Amino acid sequence: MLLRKLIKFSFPAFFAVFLTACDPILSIEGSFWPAWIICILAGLAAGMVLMWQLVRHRLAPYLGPPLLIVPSLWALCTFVIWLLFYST
Amino acid sequence: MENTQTNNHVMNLKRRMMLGRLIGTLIVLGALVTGILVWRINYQHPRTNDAMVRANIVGIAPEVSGRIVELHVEDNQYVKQGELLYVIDPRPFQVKLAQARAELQVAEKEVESRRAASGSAGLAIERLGHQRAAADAEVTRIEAEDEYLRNYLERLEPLAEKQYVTTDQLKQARSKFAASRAALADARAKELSARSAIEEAKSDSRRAVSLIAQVGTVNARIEAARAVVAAAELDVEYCSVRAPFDAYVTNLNTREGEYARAGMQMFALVDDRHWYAIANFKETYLQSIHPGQEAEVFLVGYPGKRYRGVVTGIGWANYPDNMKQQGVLPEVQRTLNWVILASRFPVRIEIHERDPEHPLRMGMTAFVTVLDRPAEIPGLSPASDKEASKAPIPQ
Repeated sequence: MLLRKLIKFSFPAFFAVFLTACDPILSIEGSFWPAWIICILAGLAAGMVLMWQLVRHRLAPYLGPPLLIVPSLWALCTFVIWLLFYST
Repeated sequence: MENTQTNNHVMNLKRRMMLGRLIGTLIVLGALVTGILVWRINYQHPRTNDAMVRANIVGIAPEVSGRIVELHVEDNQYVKQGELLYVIDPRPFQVKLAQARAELQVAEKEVESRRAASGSAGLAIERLGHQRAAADAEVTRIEAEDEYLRNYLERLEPLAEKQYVTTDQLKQARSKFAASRAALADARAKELSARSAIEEAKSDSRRAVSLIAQVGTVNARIEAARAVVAAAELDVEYCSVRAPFDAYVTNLNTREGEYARAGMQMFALVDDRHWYAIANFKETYLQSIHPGQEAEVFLVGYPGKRYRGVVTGIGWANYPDNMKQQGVLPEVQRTLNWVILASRFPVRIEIHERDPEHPLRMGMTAFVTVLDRPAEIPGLSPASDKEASKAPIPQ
């Protein structure tokens, strides 16, 4: 029950964050943050979630060298987020 | 049974390994491809957050000095072109105007009187001419008479030696001839006097004409007086200061009673006809920016609001960092710069969109993206054409 409520409120909040981030600059209390910082942080979060899923499905050991795969996944998530929300 | 389970486990392991390798490869390739795509988009659509909104600012200063008697605007007020901003006490200038008009009338009358004087001088010359002609005639008459008397005396003198005429007759003839000589000298003096009187009258006439100061159809004296009147009228007109264009009043911190000095700016007008974003782009992106291209301007003050603009020009000059001078010699510092930062050049983007709910203010922080397509804004003359006609060097 609690989990369902959490999901119900967290999904709009999650998308709201991305919708506001469509503006090329994020304003936090009068300080303006460029898109690339938002993308890097969101990419880090998304990369961690994806890596967790890969670990959960026991695919992580077979992906390749972690020193290459982990930064690449982070970069991929960062670039994809930028392309989706900020490229136009 | 055990063998079957082992086989399944090995198969699963192999499948997972293959899937893992595939996902790993896709992650690396995907990072590379999206990275290249991001770089390419950034190059094709240069963007910067080093941008600000600005408008043309015109300082409003009076043309004449005086005390402000009426102030019709407030700070931050919107004014239309021609709207009265403030009035400087016009009375001193109205008095000067009245004085100038009176002086114009005086000048006109003076010129009129000098014209009349010049006309009478002409008449005097004519009269003196007649007098000189009469004197000439008198001289001619007396010369003829003198000639006759001289001949008569010359005839009498030989006859007097032979006693054919009396001494008295001879003396009479001599005295008549002497009187005639005196009359001739007198007539010649009168003729010379008439001649010099004419010259004097002509000189007077010339002086009268020059005092009229007429040059062709223009009278310099009257024109000078008219110019003074026009200047005085202009001063009176300058007492009422009007808005030269649609604008916002800004930095107005004074009221009626303030003494305004000519040329001293009292407040500023923000020109509402043209709003710009000045975006400082790195020199590495200038190849992708051309006048006439469409641009998107986001303002941090209005999240999510997008303004469309057009690139109208790229700055031609920046102050160079490495040009310093000590006395007459250049000052060159010893440096070891391995990493050099790109210079930035101001790119002017005219914003054509207006939104009363989201008004533009000079100094707003902006984020500008130049799009890789020409602007299609109705009523906009293509900036690229204007720029091309002006600049011989393609930007």
